[in-house]
Amino acid sequence: MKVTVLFFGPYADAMHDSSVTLDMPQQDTCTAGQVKAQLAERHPKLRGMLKSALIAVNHQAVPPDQPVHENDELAVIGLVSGG
Amino acid sequence: MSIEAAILDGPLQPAPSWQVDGAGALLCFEGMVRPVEAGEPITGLSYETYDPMAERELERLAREAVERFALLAVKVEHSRGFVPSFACSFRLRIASSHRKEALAAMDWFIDRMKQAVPIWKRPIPVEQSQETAR
Repeated sequence: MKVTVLFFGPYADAMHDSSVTLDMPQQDTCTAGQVKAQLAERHPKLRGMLKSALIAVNHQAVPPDQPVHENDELAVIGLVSGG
Repeated sequence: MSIEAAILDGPLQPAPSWQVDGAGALLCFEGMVRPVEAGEPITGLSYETYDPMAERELERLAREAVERFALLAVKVEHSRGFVPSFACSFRLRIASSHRKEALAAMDWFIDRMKQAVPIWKRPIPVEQSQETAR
């Protein structure tokens, strides 16, 4: 299955892009934690920054065991700096 | 109980007066853009928001604050896009029966916002804005 993950702020800066599409080894469903692990494995420059990050699925921060489907909107949420 | 949360383009305009029935305390915190970031002069900050999650998270925090501190009302606004130095980019207003819960809620809300709400700021150095203007 393929999932697209959105990046903002320092994550987008590190990736030089605002999104990436991952080809996940799972067929129909994976988890938010597996997506985060794939990001860290395929993009080593994100590894340190991902430690404190959450994955949002369809605009809601979710726990690592949250199921993810192909058409879900995923985003990396971390290192925020509002205010 | 009244809750309002909004992400607005550009600097926040001055707040109109606010009246809440039964409130003995009305608090207003305004976050202003400083002209210096990490020792370097800046013309302002550019705020990137993940919409609509950012507004939903502000509203969720406001609701949680009302329940946790028994508040009467919360209004929160945050800027999106460029906000020049000395302008307001964040405003949190809290109404409660007494001052203690409002003061505690103010600190609590801002701490959590800085951990959880998907908003990122980028300083715009003076040099960069001069190049853009050319």
